[in-house]
Amino acid sequence: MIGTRRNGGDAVAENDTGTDAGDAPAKEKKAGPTLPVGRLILPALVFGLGLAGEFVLPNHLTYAASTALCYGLVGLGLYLPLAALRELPLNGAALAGLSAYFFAFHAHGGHAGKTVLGVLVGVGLCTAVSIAGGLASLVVTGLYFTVASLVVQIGIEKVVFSMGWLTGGASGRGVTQPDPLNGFFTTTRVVFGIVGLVCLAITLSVWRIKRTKILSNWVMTGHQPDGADAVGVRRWVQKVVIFGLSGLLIGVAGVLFAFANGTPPPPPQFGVIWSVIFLAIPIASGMRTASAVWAVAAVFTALPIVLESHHINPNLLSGSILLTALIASQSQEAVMARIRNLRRQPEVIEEIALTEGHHALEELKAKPVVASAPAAVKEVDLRAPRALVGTDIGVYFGGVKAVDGVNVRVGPGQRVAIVGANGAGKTTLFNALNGFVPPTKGTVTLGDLDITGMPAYARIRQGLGRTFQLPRLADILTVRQNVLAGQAQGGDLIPRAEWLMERFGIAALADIPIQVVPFGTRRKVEMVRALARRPEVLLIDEPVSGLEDEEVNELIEVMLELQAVEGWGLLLIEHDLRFVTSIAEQMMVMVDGKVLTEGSINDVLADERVRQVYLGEVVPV
Amino acid sequence: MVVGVAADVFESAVIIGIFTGTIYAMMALGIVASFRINRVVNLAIPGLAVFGATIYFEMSNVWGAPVIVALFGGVAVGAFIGALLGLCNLKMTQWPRGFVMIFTLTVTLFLFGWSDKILPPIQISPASPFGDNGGFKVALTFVSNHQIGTFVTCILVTLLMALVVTKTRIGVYVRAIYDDGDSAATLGIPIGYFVVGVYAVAGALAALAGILVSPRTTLDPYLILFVTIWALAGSILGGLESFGIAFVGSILVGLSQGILGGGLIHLGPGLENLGAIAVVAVAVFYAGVKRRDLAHIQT
Repeated sequence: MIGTRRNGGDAVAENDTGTDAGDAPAKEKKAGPTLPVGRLILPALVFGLGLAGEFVLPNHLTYAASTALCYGLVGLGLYLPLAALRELPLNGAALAGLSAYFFAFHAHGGHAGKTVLGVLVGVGLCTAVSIAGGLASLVVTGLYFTVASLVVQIGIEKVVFSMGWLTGGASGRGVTQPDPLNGFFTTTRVVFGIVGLVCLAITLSVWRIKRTKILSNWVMTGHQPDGADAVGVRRWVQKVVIFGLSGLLIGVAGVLFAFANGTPPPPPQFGVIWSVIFLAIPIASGMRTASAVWAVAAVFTALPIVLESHHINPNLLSGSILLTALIASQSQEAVMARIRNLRRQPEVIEEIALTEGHHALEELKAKPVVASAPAAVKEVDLRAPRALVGTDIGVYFGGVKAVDGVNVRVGPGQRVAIVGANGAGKTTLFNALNGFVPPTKGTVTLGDLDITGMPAYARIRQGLGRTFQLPRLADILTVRQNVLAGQAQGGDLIPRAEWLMERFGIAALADIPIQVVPFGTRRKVEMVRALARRPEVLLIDEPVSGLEDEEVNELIEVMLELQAVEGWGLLLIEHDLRFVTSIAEQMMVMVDGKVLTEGSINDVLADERVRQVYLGEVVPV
Repeated sequence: MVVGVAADVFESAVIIGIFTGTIYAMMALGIVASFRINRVVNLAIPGLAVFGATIYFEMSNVWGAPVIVALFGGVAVGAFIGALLGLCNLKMTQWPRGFVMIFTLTVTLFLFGWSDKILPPIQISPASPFGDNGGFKVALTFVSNHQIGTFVTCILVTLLMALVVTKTRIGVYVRAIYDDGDSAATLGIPIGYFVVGVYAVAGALAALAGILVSPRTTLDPYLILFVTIWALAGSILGGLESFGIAFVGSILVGLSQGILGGGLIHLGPGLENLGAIAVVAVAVFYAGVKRRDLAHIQT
């Protein structure tokens, strides 16, 4: 009986296959993850503060607490693109203002129907603008995205907020608030109760989303875009969803601003300085948990109230808050950096592995080598491998012909190696075959299907697999999360991924963040990730650079066994001729973007020109 | 007759646009200077501009110092604070650049706060270093000596900065640090001195910009903040790397405001900014796409 373990949140799959390692000891079914008590302290504290706001605080501070919740909601909205995509949107205040003013414009002095319309228009508009920003971030990222979001902020601030008919002028447009229930539960308290319930529901939803497989796809999209493509994740969809959710939360916050205040705050409250302060909330929270975002928002709101009697200049106060937020967040980074340093100490990794995965390691050592997957694992994929054919591929960068008229074919079960000096065009050819670079000329087909115009993620979904020279893995995700990223789109391949992790000897490290595992292990993780999708043709770029001899031998052994059973084609780039001759059947030598020679390993190695290339001599092609 | 008036209005819009763009360009030079040393967008520029102008105002209007002394005083204070900011940047090499950028914004908030404390509560315009009187009329627009002085100063500073970067050993070192700081360090280039020095220059440029801007806009920090944002857009056109293109980009932003704003203001309040915002948005988008394509080729 072979059991495929799934730690860290998923169910345990057990297969009574009776094959291969049938005498292996049965594994006990593991319980789902238990949330450490320590991690419940902050949410409990935040929830307790909320209850205190409702029942204990004086009336005017209850209003401040409502404002804090609105700040926190905007912060939570900005937390999503910041943490998942590493984008810094500087337009949170303008989006909240947009929602607040359009809500008040429609809901002003009206009945419930008009209020609902106001909510839909305000939140919908905010979400639409945010989604547009998400689509823009597909082509404009990093610094340019931040500046573009700043331009959006200024545009809304200077143009939309200047329209008196929308903002309602100096007095603003009143919004209907609930009546008081009694002397204690005044309108302010009832408003706080409603705002609090909305925020609680949203927090629970965000928390739930973070515990799904979607999180891995989001993080992969933002932290390793090429890695996301390599597992078939549609990045534009992820970005639209993240920015849509972000806009939704900020839009709701804008509505609540107007609702809690009785009228939308004046335009300066939605100015660029406030955008920065809103962005400081998730930054100061360390971008780890939603509870921390609320806690920081509470502190940001409380500070001005506490310091009110000291008449501190608002700019100095805002600057101090922002500076504190930055230092707090970077102190957390310093702690994380110390953890990252652990990866330079193999004995510590071994210790972690033994502590967290002792049993799995022991089982792996005791278990005989298993060439083929258990039956249940094989069943997840029934595709017959097709041939990958590149015809007359050319990739030109201006006047530079990085690849020029190359033909390549990898059939089912074939193993082809591409060798050549640095700059010969090997990786560019890979990128053209995989869709990471559009070819200037030529066609790429998989079986009968022309995939030349397909984006990279679509080619992966069609059956290509890919690894990179430097592993493209998201540092903040665990080994398992990296391997399983994109699996939501690929059907239920989890048992196969779990089996491969065991086969490559990394199952014991499955729940450890990638940032603390050594380079060689990262290579294996990327290989498992590519193989987990059961590719028809696997393209691997310098798979053994940085590996020890023993690890190279293991890799050769595993790859040959798997390929013999599953029949996929293998195209690889490698400088290590020992590895190439051990694993490949065919070889292609590239020089200056063209093919110098190709054929069986023995024929190619016997070619005098190939020897000259490896000795660094100039060889005409 | 109508055509003649329209031509005059257009000429005026162009002239206003060019001089507005010149003001943006002064700010843009400081942004480009600091970006060229450590790839951080220095959002302390508006704070440095306001604080430099505040010192200039205090020295000239309150202490009675000669205008030229006040000018150098304001610029020196800007350079000093800029150098301190450079020192802080050296301590933040492990921080993400976006966070360092936010840090520079906190410096602006502090400088705004201190300026608020120093300046009188009523908004005032300090005297121009080129004199408050004098000038001539072009089409329907009066062009003051201050505008001419600002324009000439800006061109001279742009040429000087471009020459230093392209023709001197200092420029080579700055480019080396910008391309790869670690490699530059292995060549024996004292990175710390250069970062502090370039930030000092950026601070001085920002203060000079503030001193030249404030006679036209008053010392309102938020007005100068918006001036900086337009300047940032102008410098983005040059990929934040070229003094010359930042200068031209800033003039283009000013021109788009001058020419498009005059026509759009009739549509409603606030809409005069629509044209300039659209131009800036397209410029940022174009620069971002260009940068992404370059990165892809390098990969």
